[in-house]
Amino acid sequence: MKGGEQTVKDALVPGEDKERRLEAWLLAYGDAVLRTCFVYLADRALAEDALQDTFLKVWRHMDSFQGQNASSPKTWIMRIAINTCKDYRRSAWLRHVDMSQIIEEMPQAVRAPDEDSHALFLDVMRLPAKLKQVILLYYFHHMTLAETAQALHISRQAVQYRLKKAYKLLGQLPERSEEDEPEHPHPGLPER
Amino acid sequence: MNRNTPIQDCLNDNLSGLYITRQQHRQLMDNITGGTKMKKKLTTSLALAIILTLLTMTALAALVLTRSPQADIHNRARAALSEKYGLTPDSLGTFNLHDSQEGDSWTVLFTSASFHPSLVGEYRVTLDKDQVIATWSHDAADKAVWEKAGLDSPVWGQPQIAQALRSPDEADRINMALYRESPVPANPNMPDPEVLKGRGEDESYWNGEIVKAGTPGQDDLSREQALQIAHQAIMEDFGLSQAELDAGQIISERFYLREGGGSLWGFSIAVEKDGLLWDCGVTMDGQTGEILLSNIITGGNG
Repeated sequence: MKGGEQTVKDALVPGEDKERRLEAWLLAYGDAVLRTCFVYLADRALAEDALQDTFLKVWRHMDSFQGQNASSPKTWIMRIAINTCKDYRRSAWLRHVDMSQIIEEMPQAVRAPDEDSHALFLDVMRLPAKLKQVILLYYFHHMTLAETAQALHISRQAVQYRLKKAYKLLGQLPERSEEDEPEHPHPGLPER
Repeated sequence: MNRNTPIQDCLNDNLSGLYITRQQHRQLMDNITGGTKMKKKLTTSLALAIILTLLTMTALAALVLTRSPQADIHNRARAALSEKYGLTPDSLGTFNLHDSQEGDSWTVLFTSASFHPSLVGEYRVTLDKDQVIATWSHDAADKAVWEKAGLDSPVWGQPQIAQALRSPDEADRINMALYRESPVPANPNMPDPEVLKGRGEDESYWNGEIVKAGTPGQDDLSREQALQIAHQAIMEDFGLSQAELDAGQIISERFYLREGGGSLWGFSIAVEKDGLLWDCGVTMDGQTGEILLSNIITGGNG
């Protein structure tokens, strides 16, 4: 709901019944899933359907998740959301989405974007699906490289590679950080 | 890598208006925990897809209107006269059409059905694969004589026909005087009375063939389907709108069985437009919906 992402800590109280947990996850991650699906599918109605399908899968497989400690609920739910969107994208229906209609589809932003921001957003929407995924998880959902890799079932290097490729297409320059890996895959070797 | 602020900001800002409302949240919970009930639910997108598919099918049905070579030639001939002489559909409705074919070449003759031929003359359009030639029996007349003149002009082009249609009393007075002076031959489209001699009351003469009144069978278009096609043809051929047609009145609808097999649907629809009565006629193949003939009659000659 409006107001941003909520913490999930309260949603993971042991012994909490399944329905209450679903509700907590929907509250915590629902908006994020809806926005992810919208960026991925470029269609609000489809995004709402994908949101529902995502949480239906979450509901059905909640028990199996409880036995997995490898990923956080957020990573797990985002992976389901992205896989659901992938399934939607395979349908012929989405092969002819007119990206120019995205502007019409977009609900009025609470924080009004300036022209540059809006143009960049449309560029993000136009990115190839694989690049869009990493941008969404890394920037929008604030996942680490490791979490992004886990959510997408790819290596960290692959996440880095896709991020760089996305930057290039978006005309954005990446910045370096101490918390993440160096950009070249062999940290022991000097850059040429 | 640090988080690239412009990308992060653009996502946060542009998507800030997209969120789940309390009502949607409640609905989602009901749908998801309801399990099977939700699965049966028709999703918004599927419903939209179905509606769009239906709309597309309707649009396609309108777009795939087919015409017989004869109907197509008539349309092209009308278009040629409209382009060269500025004749509007209602003015063209005061003429009878007669076509003839020689090899790949067609000639369509437009003779007057409402006004004295000496005034309006006759138009001839010759069409073949490569060219369309339109001529008027008054081509030699000085354009300046009739282009801006009233009904007292000895030559009636588009301006006079349009005026005559809207001033029928004055047009009648002029024309009756001329008809009394020099009568004109009967409409050559009318069948020879001998053709119908000995035929039953349910038989008619249509475009050179004898047809018999009947009822649509399994292979024939329903009345509704045929009427929809007729509407589409009238809109395309004479520029009337669906609203004008809906406000019009069906003055005859006929279904005929053809001698050589097959069938015909025919509709005559009266539409009032700009104070004039347009009698729009469409005849189509009763099974395929192919438009065989379309025409309009204005000027009270019907």
